[in-house]
Amino acid sequence: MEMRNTKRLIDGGIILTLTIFVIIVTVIFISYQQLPINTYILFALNTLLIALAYWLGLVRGLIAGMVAVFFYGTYLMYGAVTKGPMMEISYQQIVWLFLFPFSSYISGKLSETIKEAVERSEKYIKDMEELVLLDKETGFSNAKKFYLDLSEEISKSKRYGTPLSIMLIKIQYFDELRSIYGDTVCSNVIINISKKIAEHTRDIDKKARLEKDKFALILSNTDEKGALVLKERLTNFLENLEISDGKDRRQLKFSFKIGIAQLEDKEKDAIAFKERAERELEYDVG
Amino acid sequence: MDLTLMDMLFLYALISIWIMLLYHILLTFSGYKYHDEIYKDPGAVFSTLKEYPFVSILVPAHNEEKVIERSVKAIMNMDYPQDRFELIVINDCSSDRTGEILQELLQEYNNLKVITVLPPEGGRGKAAALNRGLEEARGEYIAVYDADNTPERMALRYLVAAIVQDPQLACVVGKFRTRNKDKNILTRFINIETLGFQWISQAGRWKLFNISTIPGTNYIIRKNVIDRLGGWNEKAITEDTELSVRVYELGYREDSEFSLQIYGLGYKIKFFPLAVTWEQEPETWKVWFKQRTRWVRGNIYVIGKYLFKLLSMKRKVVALDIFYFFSIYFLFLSSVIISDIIFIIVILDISHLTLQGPFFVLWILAYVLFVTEMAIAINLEKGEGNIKNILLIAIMYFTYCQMWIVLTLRSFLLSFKDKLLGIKTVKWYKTERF
Repeated sequence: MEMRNTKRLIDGGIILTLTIFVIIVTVIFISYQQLPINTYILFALNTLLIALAYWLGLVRGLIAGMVAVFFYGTYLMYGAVTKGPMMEISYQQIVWLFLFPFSSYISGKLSETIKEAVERSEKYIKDMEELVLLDKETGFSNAKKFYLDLSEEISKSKRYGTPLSIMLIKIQYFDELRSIYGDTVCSNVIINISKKIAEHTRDIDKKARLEKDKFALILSNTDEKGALVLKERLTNFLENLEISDGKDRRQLKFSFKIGIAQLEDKEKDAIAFKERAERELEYDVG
Repeated sequence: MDLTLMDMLFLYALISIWIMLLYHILLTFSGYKYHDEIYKDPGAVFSTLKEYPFVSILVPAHNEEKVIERSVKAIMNMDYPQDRFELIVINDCSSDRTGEILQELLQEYNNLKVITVLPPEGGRGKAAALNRGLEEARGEYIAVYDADNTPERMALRYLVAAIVQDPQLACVVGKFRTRNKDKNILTRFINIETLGFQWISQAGRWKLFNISTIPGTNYIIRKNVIDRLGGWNEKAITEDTELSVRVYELGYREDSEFSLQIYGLGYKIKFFPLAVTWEQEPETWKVWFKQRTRWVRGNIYVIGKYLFKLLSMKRKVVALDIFYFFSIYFLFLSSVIISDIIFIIVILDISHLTLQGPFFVLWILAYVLFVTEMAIAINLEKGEGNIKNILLIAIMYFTYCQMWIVLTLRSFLLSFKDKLLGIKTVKWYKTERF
């Protein structure tokens, strides 16, 4: 999306530059009326070829250039034949024969290069999105990594017979907070909350940020009881979390919902497991 | 305006070159249109390929020890059901290790057949070798590859898919690329030349008139067609060009006269660039000169054979096409030589000819159009439209193309000499491998 805007900007810039150029030349031709009109027509044709090649691409631009050269060359020859043997062809007239295809080529090549660069950037951006496994703000895993980790932990838990729990933490009314305090403050809030979560959990607990207002913890080797202890602890800290708003140093208070689920014996599917924890969120009415 | 006889001649040359330039513009544009059409959906051709017909692949080999093993392996590895094709290598009087290499390869592949032709009988050229292979071929279709070819894996499948689509197609011709294009400046020139020939002349003529020429390798032909034609012409130096003309003259039904007259139907030869083979091109000017002399002489043979029959030919478009080749070799060549001379005179400022102005413009126009058309052609091929190649095209006109003039003149001389002395032997004009 961003790249497409860049492309539009480049295209616009080039069209504008060309337009300015055409206007200047036109003004010069109008002011100095002794300049031959033929030259102006050739100039206009050449500009048209540049625009065409940029718009239609290299090959089609070259085809346009080829046709233009042929007609112009034919015109010159016809003139030379009908005006008799004494007709001299001037080099100013010949130059255009080279200029037409050359302009088409340069402009078409430019258009092709830009197009390729934009396509390549788009591809890189897409590839990068696929490769990214971390949440930029918090350094926690993102949703994609969360599911990969969860599947792995489910397999481990099955194999070693150890319990496995997950915990979802949702910040209440996050959108409203954001509309009041703005992105920067909310970003600070998220970073602070993530720090608190990291402080109050074990290293081996895998932490993820699933949505902008939702965190998840994978608690390996932990049953529901253990998870509840952690929940108690976290609720305490998070409810009393006070974050100052940069300007007027107001203190913000948040409320949270926390959902817990323990892996059941026959449960294998990571998505279904997470859904159960999701449903628990609804029942956590404080 | 009073025109002298000299002026009339100039005018005549002027107009014939001008028509040629116009024709090439049309060809280039049509070639581009065909490229777009084909590459819009390359897989579309397979939708009609319901079953795989049996194909016999013929590879004539005469002293090919340097390349034969790789070629056989490349053909065997093509993406076509192993039980639906056979490869017949005709080892024609090789005095090198070709035979031994083929014996080793026989152990490896079940569907490889080797025909060994020994000295008193063989050594009569590619056409004779192909005819020998044709005797043993079981396939409904015959494909031909040169012994130095490395076809892409999908090549045969594309050729088959294209030919089964239309019963009016006698033959489908694939594209050939230059495998050793980065070797030196000569192979780079050849690479550009082959792309130009195929995208302008072959693709353009196919799009405009449903005509193209068999290039001697990477093509597939219906067995019943080649049988009805009595095989390849062993007298022709370039058996492929000659075969093209005979295919066009053959009606597509058994009652060919009838179908040609009533419906104007005849067989077509389709250029289908998705089937690709890579071949080795000459790496030295000497070998290049020898190979091209053979081509030009082959074309002279075809022109000589059909020129006086043009008016009685059944397919007017084909007659026109031969006339075009005739024009290239006779009218165009002489005009180019005249224009070259005029250019030198203008540059050296020796004298001012009447009507020199238009010729000067024509000469520049021809040059600019040549560069532009070739630039379009190479840009149709992925990765070839770089600035280096464009610069090569710009100098090609003064170097490579002028060499063509020299060798065409020489070929005429040789053909004329043979005619005078009554020499008619055709032997292997083999291109040396590297």
